[in-house]
Amino acid sequence: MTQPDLVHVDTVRKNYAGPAGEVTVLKGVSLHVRAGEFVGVRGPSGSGKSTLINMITGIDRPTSGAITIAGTRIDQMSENTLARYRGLKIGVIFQFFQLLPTLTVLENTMLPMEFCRVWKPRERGERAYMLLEQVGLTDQAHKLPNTLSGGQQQRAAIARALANDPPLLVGDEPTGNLDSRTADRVFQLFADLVAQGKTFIMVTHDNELAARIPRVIQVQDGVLLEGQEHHVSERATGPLHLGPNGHSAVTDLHLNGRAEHVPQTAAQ
Amino acid sequence: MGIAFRKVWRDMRNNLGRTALVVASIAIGVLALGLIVSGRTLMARQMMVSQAESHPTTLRLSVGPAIDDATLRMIRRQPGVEGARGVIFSGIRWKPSLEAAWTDATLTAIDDYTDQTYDLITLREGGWPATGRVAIEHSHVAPYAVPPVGGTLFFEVNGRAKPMTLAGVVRDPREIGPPFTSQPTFYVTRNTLVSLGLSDRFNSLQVAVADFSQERAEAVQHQLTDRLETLGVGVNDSEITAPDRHFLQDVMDGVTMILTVMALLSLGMSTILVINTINAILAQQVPQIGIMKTIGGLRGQITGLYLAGVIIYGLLSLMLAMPIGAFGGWALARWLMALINVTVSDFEVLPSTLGIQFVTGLVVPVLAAFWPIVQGSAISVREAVSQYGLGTGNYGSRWIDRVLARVQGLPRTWSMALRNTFRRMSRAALTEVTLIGAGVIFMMVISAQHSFETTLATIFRGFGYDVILGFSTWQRIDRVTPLLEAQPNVDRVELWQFANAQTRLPDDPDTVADRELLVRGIPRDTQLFTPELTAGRPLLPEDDRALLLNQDLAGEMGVGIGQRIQLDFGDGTAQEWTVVGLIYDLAGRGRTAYLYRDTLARDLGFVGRGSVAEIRLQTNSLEAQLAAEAQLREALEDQGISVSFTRTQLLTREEAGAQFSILTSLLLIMTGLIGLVGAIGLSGTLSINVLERRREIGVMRAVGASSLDIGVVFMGEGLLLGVASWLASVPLAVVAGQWFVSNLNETIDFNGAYYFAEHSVWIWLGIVVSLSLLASWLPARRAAAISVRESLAYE
Ligand SMILES: Nc1ncnc2c1ncn2[C@@H]1O[C@H](COP(=O)(O)OP(=O)(O)O)[C@@H](O)[C@H]1O
Ligand SMILES: [Mg+2]
Repeated sequence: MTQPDLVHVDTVRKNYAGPAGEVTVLKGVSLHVRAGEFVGVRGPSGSGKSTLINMITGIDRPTSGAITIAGTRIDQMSENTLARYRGLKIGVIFQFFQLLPTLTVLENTMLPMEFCRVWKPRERGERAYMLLEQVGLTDQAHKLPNTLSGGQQQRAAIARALANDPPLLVGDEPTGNLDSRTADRVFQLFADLVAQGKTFIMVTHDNELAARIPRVIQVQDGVLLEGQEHHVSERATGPLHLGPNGHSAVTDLHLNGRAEHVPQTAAQ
Repeated sequence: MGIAFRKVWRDMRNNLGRTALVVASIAIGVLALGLIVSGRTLMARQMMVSQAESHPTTLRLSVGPAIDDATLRMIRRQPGVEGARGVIFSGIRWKPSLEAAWTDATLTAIDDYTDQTYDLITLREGGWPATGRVAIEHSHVAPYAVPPVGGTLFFEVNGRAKPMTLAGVVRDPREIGPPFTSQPTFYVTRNTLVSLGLSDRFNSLQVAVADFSQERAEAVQHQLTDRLETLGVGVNDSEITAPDRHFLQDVMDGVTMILTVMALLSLGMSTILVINTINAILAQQVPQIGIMKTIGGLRGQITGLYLAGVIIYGLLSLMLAMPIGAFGGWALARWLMALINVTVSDFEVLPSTLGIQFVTGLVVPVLAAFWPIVQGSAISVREAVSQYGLGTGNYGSRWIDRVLARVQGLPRTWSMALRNTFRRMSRAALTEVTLIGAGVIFMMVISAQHSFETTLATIFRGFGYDVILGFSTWQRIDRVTPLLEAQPNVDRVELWQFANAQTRLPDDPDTVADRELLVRGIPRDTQLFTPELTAGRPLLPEDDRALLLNQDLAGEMGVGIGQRIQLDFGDGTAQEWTVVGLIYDLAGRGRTAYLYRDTLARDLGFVGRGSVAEIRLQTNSLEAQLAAEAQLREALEDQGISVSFTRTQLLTREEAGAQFSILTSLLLIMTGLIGLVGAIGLSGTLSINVLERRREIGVMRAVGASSLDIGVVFMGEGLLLGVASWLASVPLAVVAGQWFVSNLNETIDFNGAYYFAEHSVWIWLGIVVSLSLLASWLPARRAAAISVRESLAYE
């Protein structure tokens, strides 16, 4: 319990300028994630899930409030400091994989090491190879991304996210563009990573997957709801078990049943 | 920069078309620069070398009557004279074989070919002239079909063909080939002249002024003129040129000016193209920039990455531009120098030019790309990775979008083409700048050419003759006129008097040098002289001692309308004449004056006589003029009237336009180059647009657009850009043309007027429309080939 939070979102507001004036997407939300936690983020389309995730990765800045990652405030960092910090501490996984199309899988994996100048140049290839082994892609290492299947590309993207050995991994619907079998395999990879000590925050629409995440946050009307109890940003009471039978996951499933009735709009 | 750099490299390799576009854009500018700098350097150097090697004289006097060796020796002893050479110029008729027709040639003789000090004539092939053996200027061999060394040609002596052997080929630094000259020059000894029945006395003096300065040269000029006058020898014409200035330096200065303008424009336009293409590349790279930032790439690293890419583009274009530029510059110099009889040695690489190219090829693209890259790499990660779906997300927010949305009544595809054109405002603007630039230059160039031609035509229109025949001695008008009028195809005959005079202002008769004036006495009822007046009035029947003066000379002398000048026809008595009008005239190197024949005849003492027949023909063509020239000459000579020179209007005009032909050829090369840049620019913009709108094209396809529809959208966009640029370029061209022509005229010392070439407007419209269709055809076809699945796939 004395262990500090890895992620600390403190009363964060986020306004966007819309056509009809300011729109508040996040209404002063707080969230604490401890090292080693596996957190799911759910909510209807347009509820602000991506906005929340972008706050945590530093891709976007809050209107007010504070974001602290591993004890460091990131919301006031300069672009460059943030880029470097993110490169070292946060692995970001996108829905559309976002591998650089002209680099091979191996090279994509090595690129963050090169940018952040971690590991000696000679060691980088070896390490990237090891990471690809971990995601089961060694046989595809020298292929270009667009020759791979979606699942393979996402596994390559995971290897890339792990390149600099960041403590925190964040994914915005990382399985959203995969068929359910592939999604399942990729999810298992996430679970393995958490088991190895990584902290993982992911947005998902998938009920079955969400059911397997020990802690699920519900985003609705700009506030965060934790599990069944409609606590806003209450600190979780302890490490939750992995697997589909976790308590909060079950209640979450129930909640999610309602969420699914919200009509899906075109955008993610 | 290992892996990131690999990305840059592969991006280039995977987009060969686009890479070629950027490389070509840079290469054109750097190529033009290299070509021009090396061409200029070589020309300047070779002209200087050639000038120095020839040991040039600085003062040339044409004298009459011709002088003997003793007089020449006396001239050499005059103070301020470093040395002098006597030359004999003579006219003769020649033919390369017995079957050929007689044509005019120049004979040049000096005292000793093997012992020359000034204006060195050098032997290129064979041997020096000797008795019965002649040599030929090398640049005249091919144009006049002169037989090879050892062969025989014929001179006309007393109506008979006298065979001569061609002993050798020489280079005379004072000679040039066609189109500047229209007859060959043969070199003979003084003995040969005598054997041809010609005088071996010197009628031209080439004088080296010791320790040259313009003032010293003028002093020597006056002193020699005075000295010769005491011996009864008149100076018909004299000319001073600085020893370091080639006698065609003016034309070459014009060439240099055109070349400089050309280099700067090409460089400017290629910079614009680079900016445009780099901008588009970056626009496409935005998501990737975002990803790189997400995984830890710093802005500096990303900027460096793309700048490295630009440097690669620069290096690739240098690989093209450096060799072609070096070779092209040499070829250009060789071609231009050959026209003025200056030799350019074998191909050589000028390290300084390569250095300039190298620096420009790297610095210009980096500078051009710097701002776009800095801007592109500043994009926030959120913006970069959230670009999904159609468009850039802000379409409709600008006034132009809303205005265009109100344009109704066009077919769907056309209104899409219209709106798309303005979607990328700055890109469209830069493309327009390139196209407008090309259009302006095209019209400017055609107008320059048109101005030269119209000026020449105006001048020649004032001179109504078709054929001129000059007599060796004064002829009675009432005898020669009916004789010539009786010949076939002759429409009108006028006998004029050509005479030389010294002219000076009445108020300071001694101070300023006398000027040579070529005086033409015209009949009062002339129909062959209606010159363009630049000031004053024409000659009127009641005029007596009134004259029309060449405006250049008037400017030089500081004489205006109504002022008086003195004319001295060599008899020592000067009469005062009133300047009533100023005219344009290319004849007589700008030193002509026109006045009434009968008034002149009184002063000269040749009443009722003429020295030149000006003839107008009934049917007119080059063939008719040449035929009449030969036939009239024969008719006169049959009557024992010796003809000293003949001239046809069309050939004279061609010769007068010759110096412009170099300029206009260069101008055309320039236009071609610029047009190419414009086409590359337009094609680049459109293909970038296609790439950018792949997804949109897919959606259009999905909702049933045919390939034709998509083609129309893109070709329409190209056409719109082309026509819009045409509209904008016309007024600019009118203004730029004026500037260009007046600068050009000033440089080559030609007093021409500016005439905008209206036809160039329509020609350019045709070109720009074809160019637009052509440049958009490939992108349009590529767009039409995009499948729905492909275009909607995410990268
Ligand atoms: N850059 C932006 N500018 C304006 N509005 C935005 C922007 N990004 C997101 N929004 C709005 O914020 C709300 C939440 O968006 P988002 O976080 O992407 O939702 P989710 O990921 O839950 O579907 C949406 O209504 C969306 O329209
Ligand atoms: Mg989202």
